[in-house]
Amino acid sequence: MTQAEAHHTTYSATFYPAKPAAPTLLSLNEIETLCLKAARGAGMSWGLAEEAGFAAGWLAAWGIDGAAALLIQLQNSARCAIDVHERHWTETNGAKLCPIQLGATLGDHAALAAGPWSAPITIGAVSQPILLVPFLARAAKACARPLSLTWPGGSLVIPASGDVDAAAITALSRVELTMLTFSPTFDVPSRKATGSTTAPISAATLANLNILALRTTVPASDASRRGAGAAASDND
Amino acid sequence: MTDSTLLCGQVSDVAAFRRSPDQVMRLARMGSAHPTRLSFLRQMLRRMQAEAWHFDRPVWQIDAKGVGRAVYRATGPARTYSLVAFAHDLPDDMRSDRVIATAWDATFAMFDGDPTEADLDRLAANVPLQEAGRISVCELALSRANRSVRLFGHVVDRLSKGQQPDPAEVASVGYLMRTTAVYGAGKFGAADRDVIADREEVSAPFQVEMLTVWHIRAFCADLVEHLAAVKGGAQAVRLDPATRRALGVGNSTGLGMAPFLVRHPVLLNNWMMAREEALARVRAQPEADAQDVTALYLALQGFIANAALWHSSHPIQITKLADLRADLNCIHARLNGWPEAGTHPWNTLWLWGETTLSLEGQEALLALMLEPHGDLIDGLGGCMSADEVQSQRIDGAMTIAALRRILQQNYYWALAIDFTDPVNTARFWYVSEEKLEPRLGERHDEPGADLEQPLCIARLVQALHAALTGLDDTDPVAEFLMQHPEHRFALRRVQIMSRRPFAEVRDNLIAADVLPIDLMRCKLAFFGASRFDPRSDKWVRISLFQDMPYPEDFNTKTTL
Repeated sequence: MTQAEAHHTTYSATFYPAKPAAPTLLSLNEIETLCLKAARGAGMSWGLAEEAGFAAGWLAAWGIDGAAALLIQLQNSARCAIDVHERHWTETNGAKLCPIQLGATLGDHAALAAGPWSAPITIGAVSQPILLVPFLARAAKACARPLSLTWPGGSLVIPASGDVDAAAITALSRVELTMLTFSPTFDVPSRKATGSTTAPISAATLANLNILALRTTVPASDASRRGAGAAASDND
Repeated sequence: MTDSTLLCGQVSDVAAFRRSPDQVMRLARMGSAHPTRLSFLRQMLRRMQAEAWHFDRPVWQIDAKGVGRAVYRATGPARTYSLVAFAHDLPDDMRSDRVIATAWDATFAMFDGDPTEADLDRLAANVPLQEAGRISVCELALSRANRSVRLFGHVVDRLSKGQQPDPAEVASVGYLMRTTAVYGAGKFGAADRDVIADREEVSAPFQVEMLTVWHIRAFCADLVEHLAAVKGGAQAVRLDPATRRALGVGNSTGLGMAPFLVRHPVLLNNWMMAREEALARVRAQPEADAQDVTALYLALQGFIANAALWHSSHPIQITKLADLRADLNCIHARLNGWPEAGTHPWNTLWLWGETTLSLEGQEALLALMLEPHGDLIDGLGGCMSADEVQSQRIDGAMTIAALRRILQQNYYWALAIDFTDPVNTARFWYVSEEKLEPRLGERHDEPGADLEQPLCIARLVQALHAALTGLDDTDPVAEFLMQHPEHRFALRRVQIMSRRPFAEVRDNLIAADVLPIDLMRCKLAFFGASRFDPRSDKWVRISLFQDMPYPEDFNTKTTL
């Protein structure tokens, strides 16, 4: 096959040209679906794979290529175990924390005393930290409270509206691996996202996400071919 | 109207007439669903009529072989939508309804606005390729259709000789072309649902898709007349209005559609709740007006006529059709003398149906009873869309005790299934590597169950329930999920369900006897599809817009 392929789980295949001349602008739906499948293909649980799709889609709507960040993460590791000691969160085995699992978990803790909206939390080492932002923005909006992120070399505030300043998160998108501190803070002005994606995806990112996505599929067997179509011809 | 105030007061006790999710959300009943006046194509037609939309065909460049392009334009009070159609010359050996096909008799895109020549050229380079092409944020849907070889040829032939097609042929097939996919909402680069979510005219579910299919129907009728004129010259005639109206547009659908209702629980809940609320409102009415009784009779006559024309060669549907026809006669007999003295005659009729009719007949009775009550129920159409994004966030503060309570209240049916019995895990849903299409496998005979799609909700929820054993009631679920990300999918599902009683199909979707066509029929009925004709237990053909107006009929009415 000369084409890189992904599939939609409820509809048919999406075929992306293997080597398009320019990066492809996928729709939000396509990014979410492709990234969900790639994350699952890389070994994430279905529930976290859904979060991976959400995060990549959210970033694309803010003009950031979250799919590329996700791909790097998936190629390195799709699983981690979070260890909480006092208010310091690390990976149990001393590895790097996965931003999808960490982000989802922080979001789950939005309304809890153990969460970062109640008191500061420090994070050992997390890779691709830009992927945390969608979860924090969603949770900030849900609990209507702002949150500050600081890391060596930068900081940003996620407003209570959840609508971040795209310029402010661009700096974080260049960070591969970092320690982080989350703290409750004062609110800042916010902006709205556009509602459609504005971050094109490179041919290489697409092809590699598709390779991972294909790992969720089952090779054909005679039995599966038999059961797939109509029982009669379509030339009637 | 003063009556409506009175009516509201009298039907305020609607809750007492609602059906329970336990009764409604079973596969066998969902697989007996009929289109109602809340169906999405009916909602679209009502809006277009009320808002006096105007329709025209600014482009018709189809040659003597039936190859070329055409544009069908719908202009409403706020915006214009244009169906761009490409007609092709397809050899018979390339005609396939399956998603693996690479060529079709006709291909379509719904353009957001008025396309320029450059837009048409761009679409001409992509739309005929379907999945292998790319469309843009300027397009809202992508579709394709194949001819009914038999009827299409017959109609062209007859018209070219100056004759109308044989009514029996028209009735037996019912459409000139059948669509084999209608992709919306961001597929293949199209605009995302978010782009149109705040547009009132397309806010109800699948309105763009319905508009696409409705115009495809008009294109098919125009195309046969064009080809007949080419073939017959001055001798050729156009379709007479009655025949034209009797033609719907077909749709051929495989397993790909089946998981939709499972993957969109919020949407499913809202569709079902609106329909069930409509039924409850009708049942709650203290009286039946003479006018409404007449409307019910008329609706029943329409149903009986449709059931007479509805054919299927599939054993399951043949039995169901026999049940339906017998039940419609039964309803007809029951209406003799109805409404009797006493209050709540609609409820009396309904309760009679529940004890007398098959599931086919009961769900047909539901559709019939809604028909006379537009003023009472049509507004519910506005409650059928869903903001699915909002429901995705997990409430981590929920306690384990609350989670256990919701599981026991809403998923007791799932917890009761014995998944150690191989019969209850006989099937598995997966996506094929070869064709990238959803399929249903035999778990105990075929490889691939380790790559199962998460559609076996009952089993996933049961596993979640088991994992809660021994946990402290006061712990938040956030802590549980931190340790057990493998249950995140099921836990999200349970939280979605906690406030949406109709979100879940209350059956085992991997049981040996599961029928995917039941899921498909339910969804297609909400679209407004009729003539449900299974080609296997995983594949179905239906008809849309049969006996309904064409776009140009609305122009005539508005100019009168």
